[in-house]
Amino acid sequence: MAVVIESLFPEFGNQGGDNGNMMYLKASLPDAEFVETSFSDEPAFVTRDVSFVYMGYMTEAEQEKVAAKLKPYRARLEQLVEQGCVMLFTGSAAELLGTSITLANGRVIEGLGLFDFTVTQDLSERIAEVFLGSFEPAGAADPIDIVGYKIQFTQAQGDNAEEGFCTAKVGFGLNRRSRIEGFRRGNLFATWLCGPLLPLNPLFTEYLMTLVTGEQGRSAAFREEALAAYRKRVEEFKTPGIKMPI
Amino acid sequence: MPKTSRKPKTPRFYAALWAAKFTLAALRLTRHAGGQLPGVIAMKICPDFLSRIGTPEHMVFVTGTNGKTTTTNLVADLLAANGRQPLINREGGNVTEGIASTLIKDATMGGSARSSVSVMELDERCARLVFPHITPELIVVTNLYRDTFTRNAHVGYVYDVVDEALPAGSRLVLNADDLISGRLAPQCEQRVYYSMCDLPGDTTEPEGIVNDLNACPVCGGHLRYDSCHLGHIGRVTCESCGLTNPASQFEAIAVDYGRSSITVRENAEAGTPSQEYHFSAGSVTDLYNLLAAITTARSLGLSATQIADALAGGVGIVESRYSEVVAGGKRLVRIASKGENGMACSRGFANIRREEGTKAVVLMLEDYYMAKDPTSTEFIGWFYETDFEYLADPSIKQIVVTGVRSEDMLLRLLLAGIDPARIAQAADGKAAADVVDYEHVDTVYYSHAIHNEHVAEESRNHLAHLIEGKEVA
Repeated sequence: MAVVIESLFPEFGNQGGDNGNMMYLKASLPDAEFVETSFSDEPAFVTRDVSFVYMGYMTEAEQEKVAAKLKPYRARLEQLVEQGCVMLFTGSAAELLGTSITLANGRVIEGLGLFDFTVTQDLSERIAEVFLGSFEPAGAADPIDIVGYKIQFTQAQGDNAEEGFCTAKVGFGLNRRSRIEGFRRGNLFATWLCGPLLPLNPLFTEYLMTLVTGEQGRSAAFREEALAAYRKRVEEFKTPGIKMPI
Repeated sequence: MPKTSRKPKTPRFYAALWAAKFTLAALRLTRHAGGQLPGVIAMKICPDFLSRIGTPEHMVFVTGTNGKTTTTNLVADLLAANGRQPLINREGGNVTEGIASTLIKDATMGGSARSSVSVMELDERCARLVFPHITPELIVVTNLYRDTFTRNAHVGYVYDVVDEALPAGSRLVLNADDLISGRLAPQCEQRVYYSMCDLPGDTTEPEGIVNDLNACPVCGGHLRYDSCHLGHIGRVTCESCGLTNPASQFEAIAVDYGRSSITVRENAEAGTPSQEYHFSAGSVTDLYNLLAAITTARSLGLSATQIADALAGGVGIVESRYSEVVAGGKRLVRIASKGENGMACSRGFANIRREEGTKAVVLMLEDYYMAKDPTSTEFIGWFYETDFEYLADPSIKQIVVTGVRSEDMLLRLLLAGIDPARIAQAADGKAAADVVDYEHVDTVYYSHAIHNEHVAEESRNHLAHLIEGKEVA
């Protein structure tokens, strides 16, 4: 099957530089077909098999619209997950996969319920922290260090011990009491790490590329330069007391 | 005109005021700036200090993402040129404590205001901390864009903060071309709008890698843009619900770049003649700032002629974030941009691209203070909200990347399609000057963050020395 990558609602999912993820994947997989589905259109995954679905960080108002939009397609999303379709939800897009998001004003946005967690928003605390964690790829491959940023007003409550994305070495996981970040089920990844996660993590990008294409050994775009930035950041984030002032 | 209701002055208030006054005097004596410190002390002692201190009879606050400082200064200068010297927070800072400091400086020992009019810049997020205590006569909102994700989240968040805070008793001066800020605070019934005419360089879609107005903010419907001046700012209509720009009372109808003039028609009163105003800087942002200032000054009672005369007489020569020197026949230009702000940097890049001749561009966009601190790191997500693609223009022969985040910026430049052979890396400003290939370009641009001005200036001086063998005066 040709590689088809669907970016869901890119006009929304571009907060904090999350648009960099598709930018990097396009450069890394130049021969793939990229479908950008705008909010007014029906997602491509509804009627055709796609290799990869991506959605990025959006505003709360957009979360509400997107949750309602995707709700009729929940079963199809589950089916795709079971079929091994690769999916990546970053930043606030990850929150849509839980059961609910309770906003600071008390309003509740119903999530898709693919995972059993809830999200609570607190506008009095803007969290802006760095993250360094360890991701265990499927199989016998070595763990991959994941670097990123957690910038949010929310905390999640739930149990991701069996389905976590990665384990924090620096920073926190689902909430400040948790070391396990995000969710993973098969090839579905949901993470609160925001911004250009893939350009920041070329090794994880290459892991995803292998999942998407079925081919080993493909290199991410500008590998040498991306790795130089990545290695520098991994070491930087190990600095005791590292912070991201706002 | 609303008159801010003031709480009575209590012993606690006087203790706060006098402690702040004492601090102010000590700062002056020791030649320290101290900006917000008097306000910090006063509000620590008396948390509702802003509700009790005397305020000028006519208060104007200017807020919005871009153009606050310039618009504030323009309005103040227009008033001063017409004999109404206002109180202004140029030194105090635009956050809550800065506003308090400015009012403390102006207050008598009894806590009354000396000035009868004030024009103050206000950080958008501080609206909810200031406006519960003060109801100004006028509030200007220049525009709302995404800005500094780490602190300000997204434009919807800032919109909500400002929207809820704006007091119903104030009159708003709003940008009709901004369908985000232009819809703020329906509780404020008194609203004055200004709008811009078509300009060279307008586009029919929002230009740039990201856009803050992708769908109708009311119904989510598809938006049809007729023209865009700057990002989402322009004329737009929702194809589903019909939402469109509000009618403007102050409408720029012509811009004459040859004569450096902008003509504004006043639609509020039938028969009011249009007025031509001189401008000293003609970029889109400069023109919007001037139009906001004219609208505000008119709303404060200055006549169109008084404003036009003041502008013709030299008011409006704003302190620029642009600085140019010439060395050995080469133009060496500094352009400062607000840090962690994709829109500001993108506008700078667009201007560089538009300039004639061949160019080299030195990028000094890191946060100076975070770069100096090994326990601080800067969020680089905004690199991906910035149009580095503009720098792929063939007229730009070389790009020099500097700073602790240069590896990240290099990757972003490569993703923007820039030929690696045209990119050089340098550890610092001096090294950047050393690698600039000035012999093969007409102009060298320094695109730098505001706090890096001295670094860029030192680098430019070094480059001038290399070119001419002498320092630039």
